[in-house]
Amino acid sequence: MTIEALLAVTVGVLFGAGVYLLLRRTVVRLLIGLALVGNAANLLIFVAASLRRGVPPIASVGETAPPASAADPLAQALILTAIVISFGVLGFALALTDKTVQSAGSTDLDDLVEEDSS
Amino acid sequence: MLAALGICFLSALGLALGRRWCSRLSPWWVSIPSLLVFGAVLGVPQGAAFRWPWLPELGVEFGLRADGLGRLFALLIAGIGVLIQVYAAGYFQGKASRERLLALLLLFEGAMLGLAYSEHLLTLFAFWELTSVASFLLIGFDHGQEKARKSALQALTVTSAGGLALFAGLLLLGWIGGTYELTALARDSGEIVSHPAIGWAVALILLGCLTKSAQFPFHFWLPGAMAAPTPVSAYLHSATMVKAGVFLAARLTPVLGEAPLWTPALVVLGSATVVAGGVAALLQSDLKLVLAYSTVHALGALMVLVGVGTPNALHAAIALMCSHALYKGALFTIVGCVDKQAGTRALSELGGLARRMPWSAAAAGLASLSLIGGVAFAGFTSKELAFKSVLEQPQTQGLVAVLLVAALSGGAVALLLGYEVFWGRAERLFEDVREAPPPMLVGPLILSVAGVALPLASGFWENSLIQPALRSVTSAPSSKPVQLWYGFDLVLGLSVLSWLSAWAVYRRHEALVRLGRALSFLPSGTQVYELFWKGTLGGADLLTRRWQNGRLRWYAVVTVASVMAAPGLQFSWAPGLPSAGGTAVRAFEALPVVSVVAAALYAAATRTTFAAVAALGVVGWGLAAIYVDFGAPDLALTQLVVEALTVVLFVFVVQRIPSAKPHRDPWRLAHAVFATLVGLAVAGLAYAVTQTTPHSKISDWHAANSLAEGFGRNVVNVILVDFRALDTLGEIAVLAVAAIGVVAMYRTKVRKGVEP
Repeated sequence: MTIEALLAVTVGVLFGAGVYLLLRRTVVRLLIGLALVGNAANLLIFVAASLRRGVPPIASVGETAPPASAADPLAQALILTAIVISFGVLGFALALTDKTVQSAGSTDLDDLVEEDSS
Repeated sequence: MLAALGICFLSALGLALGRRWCSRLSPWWVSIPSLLVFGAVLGVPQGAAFRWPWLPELGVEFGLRADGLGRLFALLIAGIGVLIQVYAAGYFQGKASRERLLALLLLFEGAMLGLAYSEHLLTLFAFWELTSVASFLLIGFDHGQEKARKSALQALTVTSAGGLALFAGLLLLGWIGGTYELTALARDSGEIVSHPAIGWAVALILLGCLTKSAQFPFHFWLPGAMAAPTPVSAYLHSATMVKAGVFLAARLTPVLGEAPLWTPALVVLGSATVVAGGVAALLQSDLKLVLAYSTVHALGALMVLVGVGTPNALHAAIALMCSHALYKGALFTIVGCVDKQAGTRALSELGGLARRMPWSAAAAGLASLSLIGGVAFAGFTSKELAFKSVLEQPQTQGLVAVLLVAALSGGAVALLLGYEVFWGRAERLFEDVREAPPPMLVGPLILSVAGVALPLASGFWENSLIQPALRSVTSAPSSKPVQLWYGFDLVLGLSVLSWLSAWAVYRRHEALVRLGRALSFLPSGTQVYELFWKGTLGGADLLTRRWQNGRLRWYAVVTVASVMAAPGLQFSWAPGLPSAGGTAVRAFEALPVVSVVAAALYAAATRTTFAAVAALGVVGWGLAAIYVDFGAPDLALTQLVVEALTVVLFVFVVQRIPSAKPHRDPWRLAHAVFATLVGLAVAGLAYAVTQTTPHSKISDWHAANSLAEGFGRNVVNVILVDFRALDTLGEIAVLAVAAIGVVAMYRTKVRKGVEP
């Protein structure tokens, strides 16, 4: 089995588990699902760029550019941004959940809908 | 050509802006713009052309060309336009809305002239839509009345739905022919009509023509449009707009005349229109409705003739188009005079007006004689030509019956309008009724006299008007010129038959009106239209309630399913995955991968929230290990920090909120299946991507230039803080906004159980 296939399966499992949790009725489950889907998307970008072992895209002293076998720097930059932003979103969502549950007294999404319309 | 269009649009604007000042002018003065337009139209030479690249990137051009058909149509539009505007100025004399009406009429006239002169198909479509919009405004002119607004909306819906079909059809035709130029399309007609997709183009274009020209089964909007003021009805619904569909059909005959579907569709639907309109015209008692339905059947006859498409039939169609515009314009305006002076349009009340309104009576008499097809009138000539053209081919002889229905109904209508209203007996004596003012009489008189003068000047009519128009529709010559008299033959016999039966029908008109009332329970086009309208709204309502049900989980399913549809469908159609080899797995790499997979599955399966949070942490750290392994130490560091913070935040929130009540979720299994499918699709997608050769010039460029231009050895860092610094600034802004949001939420006090 190749590492590409293995990581592709990992991405699939992360997405599947994430989507399943997104669809649960408890708010906290939904947020865990959100975090998983975020991680899955990051790994997907990482796998989509070429996988190269052990050589970070850093130019060593005396060289003008990283070696040709180095990993793709662009994908890493994108993922770095994505990690930070999904953390920001998650943090906000957690705070929002906390306050909502404190005021509404329920963690059930379907209950929250009914409170909303009443 | 440009002068005519320019005068139309500019003076419409001028009238609209300067209506305060213009309202002091007499009817004659405010009609001057239309007279100028008429002059400009007269001055347009045969073959004049104008091209201006409109959207050259898309091959759209503002292309005009004045060929014979366009010139004749423009002449009708501008000529009747002058008379109608004088008439309208008199009709609305002293009313505040007069200038608005005239401005709209000019706008409409400009759109029609543009349509007549269009050479480029998309230019034609632009003017076509402009006529729909202008007619919407004109029909709904009395916007204080609900009926006017409803009718205007109905006309707009029908014609613009047809317009949409027409647009698709024209695009298709342009695609098939490789050009939007009418002349070029006509040259390649042979290849175009044998293209496999031509049937669709024909059907869509015909849909546009049929809706615009109020053909069966779309004919219902025209009588509804009679809610417009009479000058508008006279202009739009006699001479111009409704003829646009016939005009377009004639215009495209050189291109599509041989195409499948063209002739049968036009002939069958045109015949149905003749019968439907002809019968309906006789069942009405309102004069305007009588005329409206008689226009419907005349349009049907025109469509039939264009559909037959032989040189003689086209010749007859053009002659009928001229004579119909003349007598129908005259009759509509006279009905307006009668309505305004006598105060009613009901046939049952009117009668004996000839003594009070002699000039109107004269004009009505002449126009009616033309409509009934009296010998030596324009109507007679065009009717004879029509009969002869369908008789010359054995397969079209059956259409004689259709034309006979049209002639019969037209004759009866002529008797009602020309005789009954002015000479017939009425219970009421119209003692105080006076003749209409001069501006309102000029139009009908000139139009009705022209109906006699044209055949008298038959050489001019034939050689200067009809023949040039005919030559731009067909290359073959016609064998029958217009004449005053064709001798005693079968066709004259048919004419006599139509006169006699028209007389018979006219004698029983009151019974027919009673029959019409008795039949009013039958579903009419308008009711079908309203049913359709209600159905559409109700359907939209139902759909909205079904899909926008306010449940977050449902939205998530729809969103994820839509996103996944593309890769999912791709894999279900082509299940094989490409394989270009790859790198073998090393033993130690299995550990983080397996722990990530196991933790993710455990997070999904466990019922304990804390356990799920812990599993989330394991996933993050496993990913960090994978990142380190594949040369991304920066990612690994960030992931470790963020994951630690995430877990802390989760624990903080989870311990504060009450644990969920245990509940049964009927959707659990379905969601698990759905999530599995999504996972499979994404895994396939990810694998397929790794099997293509990744080649990113952008990555190479960044790697090569990071030290030289960004003065940094770590390429990832240089990208973040130098090459894409603005993106990073945005990222920081997102974090800052989230932080501010969190702070704001915890600063405000929430009272328990009270809606904020």
